[in-house]
Amino acid sequence: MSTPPAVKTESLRKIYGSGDQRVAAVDGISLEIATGEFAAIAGPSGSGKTTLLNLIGALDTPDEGRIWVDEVEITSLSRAGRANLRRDRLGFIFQSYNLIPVLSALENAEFVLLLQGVDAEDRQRRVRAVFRKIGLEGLENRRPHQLSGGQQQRVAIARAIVAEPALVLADEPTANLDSATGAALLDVMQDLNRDLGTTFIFSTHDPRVMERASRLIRLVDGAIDSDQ
Amino acid sequence: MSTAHLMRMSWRNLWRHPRRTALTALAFAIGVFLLIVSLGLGDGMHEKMIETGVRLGSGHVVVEPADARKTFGDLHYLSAATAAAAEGVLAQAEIHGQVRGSAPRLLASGLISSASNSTGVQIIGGVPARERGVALLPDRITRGEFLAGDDRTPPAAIGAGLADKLGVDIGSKVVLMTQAGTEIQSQLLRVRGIFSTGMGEVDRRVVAVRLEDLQAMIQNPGAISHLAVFLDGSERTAVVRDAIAHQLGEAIAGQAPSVLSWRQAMPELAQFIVVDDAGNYLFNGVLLIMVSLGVLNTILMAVLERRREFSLLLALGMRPREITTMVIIESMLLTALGVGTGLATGWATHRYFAAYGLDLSSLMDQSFSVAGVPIDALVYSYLYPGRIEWTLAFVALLGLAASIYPAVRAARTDPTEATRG
Repeated sequence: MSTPPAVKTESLRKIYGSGDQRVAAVDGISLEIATGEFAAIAGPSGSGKTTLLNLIGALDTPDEGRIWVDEVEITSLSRAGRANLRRDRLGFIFQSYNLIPVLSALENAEFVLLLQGVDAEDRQRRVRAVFRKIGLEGLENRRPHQLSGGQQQRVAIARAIVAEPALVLADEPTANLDSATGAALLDVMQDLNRDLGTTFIFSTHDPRVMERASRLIRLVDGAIDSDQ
Repeated sequence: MSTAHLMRMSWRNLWRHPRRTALTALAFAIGVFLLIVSLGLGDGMHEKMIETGVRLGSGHVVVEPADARKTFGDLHYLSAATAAAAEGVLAQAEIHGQVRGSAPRLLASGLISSASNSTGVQIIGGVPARERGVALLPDRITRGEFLAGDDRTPPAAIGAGLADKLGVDIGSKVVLMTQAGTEIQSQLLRVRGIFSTGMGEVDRRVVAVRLEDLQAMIQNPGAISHLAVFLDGSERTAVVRDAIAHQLGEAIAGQAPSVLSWRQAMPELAQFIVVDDAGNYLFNGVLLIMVSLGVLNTILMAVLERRREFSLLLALGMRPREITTMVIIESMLLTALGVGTGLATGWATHRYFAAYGLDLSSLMDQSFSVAGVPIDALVYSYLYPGRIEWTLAFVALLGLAASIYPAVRAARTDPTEATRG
């Protein structure tokens, strides 16, 4: 019996605007991402990368088509159901880190576990283990403004993976980092993908990310142009 | 997410902009401070007016003939049996514990004459020992003593204005005339005390004499016009009035006398207090609503500035309901901060004015009176029971109301905003 895909989309369409200004940001995309893949979605600005990621991440709903994440059909879920799915099965890494400024690095990283109702001792143990793994030891009590960009993005990665989600969605995670820091972060994510088997999907137009990806999906005008 | 965690986040969120938070809390603190101080001074002034009114008039509760206020002009007396029954009711343990004192009085109209002048007066006959400590006139004696003296000529206490008009002083003799049935009776009195209440009408027209002397003049031994009952404060007036009325109704067969509260006996004063209170409530309500608009503004600004953060929280799986709760907690913490400061400073100021009073003599005429009751220029702060509790409940409600719109907006943030670069 084959492993079910981490993500499956079927004839996905998302249209913005109205009347003559209607633009299909995602236009009939059907694809499958296998569990454990390290996939990149590439394309020029406005090609629909982020919109596709938003749809897969249950942050937005499609106008047409269906999406399955970890075998759950998410397009029919309620708002609360989508919130639960994001909390329990997905991890997010954003371009601009998006840490919560009033929380320490450790508190940011444990935030999803907190939402899941994990007890304090277990949260701390799991976060500290991830911090050790990705080189954040000793920075637990620093607030985001006391961390460098690379350190902040590492905290965001820790937050995304600490709850061991089925899928991590990363929206241009290296866009705001210098090349050395970006490469180091990609190493971290690749290690996590290899060691934990976590599925990663990136949106990017960074050639270094594309080189590292096990699969590269190119979008043009909201449709798949190539899939290698 | 637990409420404790939401509170911790909310508290930290508040201090992202310490100056803004402090200024908004300060505005709320000033509002609550003003509310408590103005309520204290307002209640204090009202309580003083009530006390003056009841001590000058017929007490917090008055027992009088049932028809005393229906047929104006006629003289009405409580029978000796009814008066004794009323005294008996007042002596009962559960009522006695709430009563500071009582005074049987006989009222009449008359004419007073000295060697040089004469004028019409209101005569109050009372028992000196029972008037002292509860009634106003014994306390306002400026010269001589209140109805003291053991010579053959009965004593009288008259107002300073009346003394001037008659050209008399302590020790002078005056003649008092009043109606006894169809006849006119007169009595020689010696002025033993001169009082000054600050109310021109009282000081020019009132003569106080001993109850038995007036009863003798009207040739009606044992007759009294009313029994004035004095309490330690006005709050329990209605309870005591009801208790007296109930027990008096059981004690007396046939028609029971009227038992009136000061509100019923002095409707003008009661109405003034209601209107004055309404004005205070309106002013303070508007003030607090304006302050709560400041809280609304602060919280709304904080929410609008943090749209991206709310979208992140939603993206991470936080429920909209939890975001609503977090913003409401933020607003309530801000409110609590302001209310706590306002309450502490307002309470301390209230206690100071309760002890030392606020002297308004430079702002008001010494003889200023409302509804026939003089206003004392030295106002002592006093808060009726429940004032603080109601104030806190009202302010908490305003803080809650001010948070609802920002909280709902925060919860409706689009989670895709988190992914915008």
